[in-house]
Amino acid sequence: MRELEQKVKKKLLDTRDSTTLKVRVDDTDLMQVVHFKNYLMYFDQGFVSFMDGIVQGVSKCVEQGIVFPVKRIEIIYENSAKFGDIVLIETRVKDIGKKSITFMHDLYRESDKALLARVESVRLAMDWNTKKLLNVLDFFAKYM
Amino acid sequence: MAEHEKKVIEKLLGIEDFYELAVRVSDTDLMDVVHSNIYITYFDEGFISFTSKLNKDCGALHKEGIVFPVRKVEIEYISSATFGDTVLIHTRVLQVGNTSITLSMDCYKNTKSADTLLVKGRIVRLIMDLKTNKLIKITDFFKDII
Repeated sequence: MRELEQKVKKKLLDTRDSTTLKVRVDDTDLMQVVHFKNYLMYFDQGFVSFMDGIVQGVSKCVEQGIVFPVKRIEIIYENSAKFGDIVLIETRVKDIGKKSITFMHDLYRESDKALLARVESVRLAMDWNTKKLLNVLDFFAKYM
Repeated sequence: MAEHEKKVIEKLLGIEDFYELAVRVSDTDLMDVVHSNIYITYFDEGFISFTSKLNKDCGALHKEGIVFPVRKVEIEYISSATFGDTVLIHTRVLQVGNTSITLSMDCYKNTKSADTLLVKGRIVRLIMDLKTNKLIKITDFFKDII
């Protein structure tokens, strides 16, 4: 079991995910740039893309009642994206706790690789049916 | 630091604002709770209410090209709200920098008490003039509040 845990941990820490999306008109606000809330939506997308690569379809987990609530986020905004920009989201795991997993997401404008925002997010894995938190490594060991 | 500046900072640090809003259906997600991203829009509402308390109308200011970009956000999620609840946003000034202002924006479910805390939020905002693309000094912007 211990060996499997180490394997899962290594796989999670070694995985690098990158995904892109195109800024829509309704992402922008009166300052002509993407509203700061929408970067949260973008890194949610990064999380989903990361999970899809690891557990093959995060939506299947959700269908089975496993959800991933956010416990904490910290975002630093460096530059702003505009309508028509392609946003590149790079996601990796920074730390794995017993009941939590910390992700780092770097958001770039694809055209000039300008850093838009840097996000640290702590997520939990929860069984929605029993409302109990899952051991993160057990969860990944089961689904990987 | 000029005496007037000190007074402005002191006044800002003493201001508290409470703003209440009702959770909308579209704020909730498949977990039947207000989605974690939505609290940021609540912070916007709290900020607008906070500035209006200081006789600064964000809508009118926007028409003059004065905006409040966000530099940093930190949110800690404690418990959850859903449709049918109201959210009470408690805004306080934590720090006044040269061109940035740090606000604490704690959200409570219905009423403020230790066991109704939904999220602890902290946000760093700037004030910018879009006509010149220059940042405005915080104490200059609020100089007329005293």
